Amino acid sequence: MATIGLKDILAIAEQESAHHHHYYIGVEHLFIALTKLQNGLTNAILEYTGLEPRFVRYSIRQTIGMNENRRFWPGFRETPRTSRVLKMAQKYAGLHTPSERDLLLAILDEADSVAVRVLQEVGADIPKLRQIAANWSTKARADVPDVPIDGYVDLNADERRVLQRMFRTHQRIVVERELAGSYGNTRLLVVQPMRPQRAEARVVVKIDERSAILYEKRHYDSYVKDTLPPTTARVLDNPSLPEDSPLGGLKYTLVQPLGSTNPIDLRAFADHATPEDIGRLIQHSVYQSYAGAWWSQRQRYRFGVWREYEHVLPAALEIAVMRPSTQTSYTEISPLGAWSRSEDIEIGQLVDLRDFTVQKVRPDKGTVQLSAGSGPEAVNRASKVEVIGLGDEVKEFRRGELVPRFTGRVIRRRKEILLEQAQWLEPLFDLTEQNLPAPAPLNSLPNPLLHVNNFLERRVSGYLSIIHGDLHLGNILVGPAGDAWLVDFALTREGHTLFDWAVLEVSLLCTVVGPRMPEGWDGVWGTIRLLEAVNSHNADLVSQGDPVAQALSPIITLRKVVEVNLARTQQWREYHVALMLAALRGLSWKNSASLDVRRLLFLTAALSVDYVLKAEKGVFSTQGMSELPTDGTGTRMPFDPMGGDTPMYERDSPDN
Amino acid sequence: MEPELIVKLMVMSGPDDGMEIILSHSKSGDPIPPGLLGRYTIGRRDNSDVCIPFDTLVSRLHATLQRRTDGLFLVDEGSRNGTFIGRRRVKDPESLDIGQMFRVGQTWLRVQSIE
Repeated sequence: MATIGLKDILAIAEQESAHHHHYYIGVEHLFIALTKLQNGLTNAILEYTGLEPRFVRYSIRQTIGMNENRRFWPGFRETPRTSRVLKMAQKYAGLHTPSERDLLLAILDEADSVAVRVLQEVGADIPKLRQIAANWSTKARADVPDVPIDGYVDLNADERRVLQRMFRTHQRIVVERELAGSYGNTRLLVVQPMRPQRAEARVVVKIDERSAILYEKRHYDSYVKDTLPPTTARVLDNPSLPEDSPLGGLKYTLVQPLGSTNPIDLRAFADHATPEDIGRLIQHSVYQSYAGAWWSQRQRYRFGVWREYEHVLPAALEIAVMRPSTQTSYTEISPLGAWSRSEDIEIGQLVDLRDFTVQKVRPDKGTVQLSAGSGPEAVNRASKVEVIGLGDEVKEFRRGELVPRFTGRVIRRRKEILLEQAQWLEPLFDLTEQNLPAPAPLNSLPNPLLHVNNFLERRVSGYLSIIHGDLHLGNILVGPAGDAWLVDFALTREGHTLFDWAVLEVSLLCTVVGPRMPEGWDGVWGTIRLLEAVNSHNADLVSQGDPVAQALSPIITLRKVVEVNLARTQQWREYHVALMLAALRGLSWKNSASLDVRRLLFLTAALSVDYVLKAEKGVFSTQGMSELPTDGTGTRMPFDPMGGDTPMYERDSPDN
Repeated sequence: MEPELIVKLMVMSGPDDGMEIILSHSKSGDPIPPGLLGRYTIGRRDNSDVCIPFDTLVSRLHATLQRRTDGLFLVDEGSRNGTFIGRRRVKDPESLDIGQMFRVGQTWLRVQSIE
């Protein structure tokens, strides 16, 4: 430690500043530099007080944001506040060069800096930090022995380190179960922490890629925390992020009484419960507990469907990287604009992407996912591009980083990706035809693949509210008294209210309906016939003793929730647009959903397209459903009767 | 003679973090609209009373501070990226208290004193 002086710290601060195109030295850059010192005092006291240096660093970076690459002055000028802090540090150092401790004390004493504001935001007690910093001696650092981990869940070394760091003050922990919400590299674990005399309340731990964990915690603090109903899972502690590990962990604390019991997720619950019980739970425990804070906000919202739903679909383009060259001409693609939903871009075309943000980095596959535009929110996640064949270069990309320019050749478009996914279904019909032949009485259904862009380009009137963003059965925990608790808030946001319900219906189709279907296309078509009866509110057909019909009962219950959240009474198109896109997403679940389930989702999408097209032709109004309003003379008004005079909700630009 | 009305602001982020700005009379020379005791412009333009030249998310005329008999008000002047108090976007004029932080573009400002 003694070998690192002020000069080195300033050099690290300049690096940090240059990386974000700031070109000035603020107190925030100085503080980040302190957290980058190996075995430094700053890291030691942050960790001692339960703050992860990495998370603090990440939060500061998120707060200050990134500038355009433009310099207004040479070198790195100090801000007025930095000058004050450096002067103060010199005062503490006396005749010596200021040490890390002098600088840290000066930063903590200059209470108004961005660094201190962020520290307070993430729960630091500044006077206490200062006191510890002033009195810290390296001897106080005793190496804590590894916490023993018991239980039957297989964990790899990185995952064990995340848990050990998270529970370092406990005597031991028992990892009781893995929840079904786990997917990909993400694991959701039920953990029982033990103290010498007693067992503590169980918690749910999510282990995921470090950047995903950092993002979720910051997102939770900024947007989710204050909107949760009183009884739910909460993220109270800082994430656990072991040094040199690709993984991180987040702890969901379950408010009593669920914490004292052994929670299971709704997907596991569904194995034993009757479909009716599942429906009741969704309506009474999930909907009614959260509606007040979330879904019932009912702000009028007129939106382009792509804004809310495009991100559930595969990337709009898959491109192979190519070095920019002046000899060739590129089609420039800017974040805004309908390029991702147009048919204009051809395979083989050279494209030049401007101002995209790195959304996902997959070192194992050598791919990077870019999303259009900058800023963390859903609007910008909508239009995605997948870059393939990067090899080792993927390591140069950091999630959340802005890529000003990227050139490549189009390999596939969303159309081809979806077509390939649909081919995996081994269809007995031609996937390029307008209509799919269907058994009587349906006879034919529109091919959903040919309606994707058209659906995304629609404008819909609905409600805006806070939504969970990924409401599948694995993210709903169930207590013994039938209470429900939601976990995983990484995608919680303000969005189309019906988004959550369309996603939940798809999850019910996968988990509750799918396993009860007879095998093969015949079983799937039989189920689709029943679902068609649900869509047209023909309850009689569904109430037969047939097990598939019974399995649809939670969906009928769910539709009651949807019904009261439709922007216009009995106008179900709003929901079927959502359901169609949510169902098509399931085509990519090759590893997690059975072939028949994916077939079911494909035809569910077809059925919803059918509904929307028929509703537009006014088919349902003859049945007294008044699907399209009339202007009094009997003339039907066009789709989207609210017209262009309704002000569209405009999203606030996200905080930097 | 009436005592001069002074508003002090502090820049709370960016390259000018920690700088104090004293607003006493309007630099831009615009006449003070009737009903106001003072009006100060915030923007990227050189002659703004609060000039924020280095933040490209700040509009040329971004917002104004309006001194009224019943306090100091923050008014967004149709800026592209918005004016915020905390996370809330300012739509109608909002009154500011001493110690309150607000944001234009990426730059945070705080009201130090109103005399």
